[in-house]
Amino acid sequence: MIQLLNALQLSMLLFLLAIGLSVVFGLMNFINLAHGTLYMIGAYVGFAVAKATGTYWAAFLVAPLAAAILGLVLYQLLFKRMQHQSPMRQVLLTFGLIYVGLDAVRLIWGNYSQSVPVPDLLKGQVTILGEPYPLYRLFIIGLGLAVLVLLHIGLERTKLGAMVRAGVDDAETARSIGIDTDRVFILVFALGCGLAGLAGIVAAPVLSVYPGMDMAILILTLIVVVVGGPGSLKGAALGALLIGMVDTFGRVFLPELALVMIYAVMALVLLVRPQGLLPIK
Amino acid sequence: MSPLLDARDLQVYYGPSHVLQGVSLAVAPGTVTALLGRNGAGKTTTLRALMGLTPPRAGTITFDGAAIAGTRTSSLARLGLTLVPEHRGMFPSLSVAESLAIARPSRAGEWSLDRVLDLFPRLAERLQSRSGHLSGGEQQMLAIGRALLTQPRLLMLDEPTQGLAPLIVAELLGHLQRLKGAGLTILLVEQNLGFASTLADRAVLLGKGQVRWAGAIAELAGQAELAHTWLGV
Repeated sequence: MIQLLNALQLSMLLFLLAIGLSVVFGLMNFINLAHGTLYMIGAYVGFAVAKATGTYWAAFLVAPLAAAILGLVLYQLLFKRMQHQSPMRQVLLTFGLIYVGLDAVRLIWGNYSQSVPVPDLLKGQVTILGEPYPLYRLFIIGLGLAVLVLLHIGLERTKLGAMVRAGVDDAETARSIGIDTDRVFILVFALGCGLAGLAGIVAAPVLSVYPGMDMAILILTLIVVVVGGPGSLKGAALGALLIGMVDTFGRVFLPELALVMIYAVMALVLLVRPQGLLPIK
Repeated sequence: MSPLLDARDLQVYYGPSHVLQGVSLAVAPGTVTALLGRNGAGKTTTLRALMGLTPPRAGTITFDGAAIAGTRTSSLARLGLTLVPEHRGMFPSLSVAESLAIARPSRAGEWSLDRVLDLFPRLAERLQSRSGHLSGGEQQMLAIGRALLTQPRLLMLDEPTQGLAPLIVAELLGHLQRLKGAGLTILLVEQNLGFASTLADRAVLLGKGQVRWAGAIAELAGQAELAHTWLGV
């Protein structure tokens, strides 16, 4: 039971990260390997704000904003020009940005690990089926579910969401009826970056904050995107759930094979459904 | 009367191939112009160039007196140009109601949702259906209805009769004649010569990326050799 909750909690973090990466890839054909960097920046900005203000909740608000703004700046400066270039160039550029981000973080915050305390409100344990479980981890699960529901409503029930879907279905036709697909996609991009920042500050009290924390999660996130099917909200959710479960239970039951199992799952999915479990088209 | 749309000497390339080699055409307000020609003549490319989807490398496009070459597609739509593409450009993940709701009006205009649904009552019955589940005729009506909600001043249609049963083609002709009667300016790409000559006032004949003939569509009937060479009829 505890492991199931741990798996769910990891799944929700992966979902928050994967959704931005996946939608940007599906929508804009852009591979942003620096997505994990935005997660790390979110965690560090959150750490700095929490330390300066003494309250976690200020960090909780500022970190996603900072990541979204940084994402927008990167988009305007670099990504806009790369959008129609070959995937190889995108990968090289954003891979380079990972190292820039890493050194920037080392320069500002040093090379050692920092921690963000769990907010007072969420300290303590709850008893679930006779076993104690940290309240904060339940909060992560709840937050992930809430984001999933909100994104689903936003995408399926609002006019802006309909414009996003129209842009994915057929961008040229969407433009021909007056929709500025570029602006719609920039909004989506900023939202995705913000969610990466949110994942960063939410993960900080659990996983600690250190240079390189982005690489640790980037690989898992990429696997989630590939397994779920790029561009799809449900795919990202399902992929995150699957990979979160496999990773957590793998570590518990077959620790020496845990990493292999994740890649095995990915290989299996790619063999059976090369387009991912729930592709957008 | 000065033309609503005036394109001069359009040069369009797809990579190394020179697809439009100096195409010029003018569309007078309130008229229907048919763009005719064989497959690969450059008809679709002409519409795409006018809509900003495949920007011409050289040439000028004037719309209502303003130079518009190089303007982004979404901005062109807000000026009152719109295109119903080949294969109708459905948004499969949107319902009929959503497809109609997202069209951005270029101005306060005469086309309301109610008026579009009056014109196409079959859409009114299927508002909640996914647009990918509609029949070919219904999809074409949705595509035209969606385009009307942008309050177009120039409606461009790429092969609207393609893949439709004769009965539906006749129905579509009636709809488009009503739109023409209401004063809408239309630029039509069409393979169905009977359909085009019933609806259009003028014809522009394209062949191998160049304009081969332009004039009143009624006169085309007397040009047997021209029609044989460039239309294959």
